[in-house]
Amino acid sequence: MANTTRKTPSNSEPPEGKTAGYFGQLARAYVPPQTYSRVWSPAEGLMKGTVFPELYRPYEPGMRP
Amino acid sequence: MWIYEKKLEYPIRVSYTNPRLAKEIITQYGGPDGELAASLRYLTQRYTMPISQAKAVLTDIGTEELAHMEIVASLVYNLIKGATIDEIKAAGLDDYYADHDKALYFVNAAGAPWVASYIQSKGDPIADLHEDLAAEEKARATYEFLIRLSDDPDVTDTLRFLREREVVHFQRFGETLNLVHEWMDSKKVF
Amino acid sequence: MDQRRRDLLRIMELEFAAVDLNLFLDTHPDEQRALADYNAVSQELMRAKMAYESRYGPLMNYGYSMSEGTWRWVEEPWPWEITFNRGE
Repeated sequence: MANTTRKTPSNSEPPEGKTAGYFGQLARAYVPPQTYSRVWSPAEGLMKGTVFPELYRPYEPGMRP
Repeated sequence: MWIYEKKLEYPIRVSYTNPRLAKEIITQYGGPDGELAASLRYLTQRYTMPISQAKAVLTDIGTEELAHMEIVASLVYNLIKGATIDEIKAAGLDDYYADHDKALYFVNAAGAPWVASYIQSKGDPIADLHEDLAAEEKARATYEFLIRLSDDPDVTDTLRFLREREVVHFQRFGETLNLVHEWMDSKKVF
Repeated sequence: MDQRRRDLLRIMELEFAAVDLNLFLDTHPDEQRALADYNAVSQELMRAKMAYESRYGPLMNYGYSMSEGTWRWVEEPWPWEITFNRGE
């Protein structure tokens, strides 16, 4: 009966074969785990600050949270 | 053990002498959400992390923050190295100059020195990782304020790089938090 | 950009990719595609560093780089003295 406390809502099911993290519990923060896909070239990555396109969040002044 | 590498992580550009901008950017050297605080926070929290992956993340991000500290210092150094006394006075950097000349010192934008109470090392891995997530967001916000204050597009380019690293680090600390939660749940006996 | 800065920039690019992949692997140690990319970039980085060091002197201290002829570690420029401003 391991993992009986694990409650993973279907809409936040981690991708198959991934380390799941812990989803769906109240009073708990989590960040969805990243899955590996395309990466930019080293040259493009350095200029952008990451090689991962899905983590690239450029800032434009005037943009307010 | 640490090994020094005779290179910056990012190729910095500085268009012209600009002591006013240096006075603001120095807060990311020795301010509350700056790179010294970030590096020391992670490197001192790592000893009591319960799982090896968390120790790795804190060691590696703590080390990258040292490289960011060097980038910020290099920006400040190049922004003030050619400044005249009149330029330093006009920029309001004269109070700093009185104590430090053009040397690098750990202060915030208003000149207050770095203090260890900027950081916490709680021993509770969940509490520590939440502090780390918050620290990344505060540093990201500071870089956005500095980008708004910057009148040098070359310096802004480096500030954008440093800001994006905060986003990536947030993701890694979030994944680490998931792993620590998983580990804690695996310890529960029913 | 002069040749030295071009060579150094290439090392920065490769090492940055290694840093970002390293952090990803810390939380995804079983991701084989990331590991393969990390190993490939590390190998290219090592080659680029060796070529750079043979021309311009050691990049690392404490036994990680050899120094031919004289102790070139003490030579300038230091990292904060190299900017990549237009025209350099």
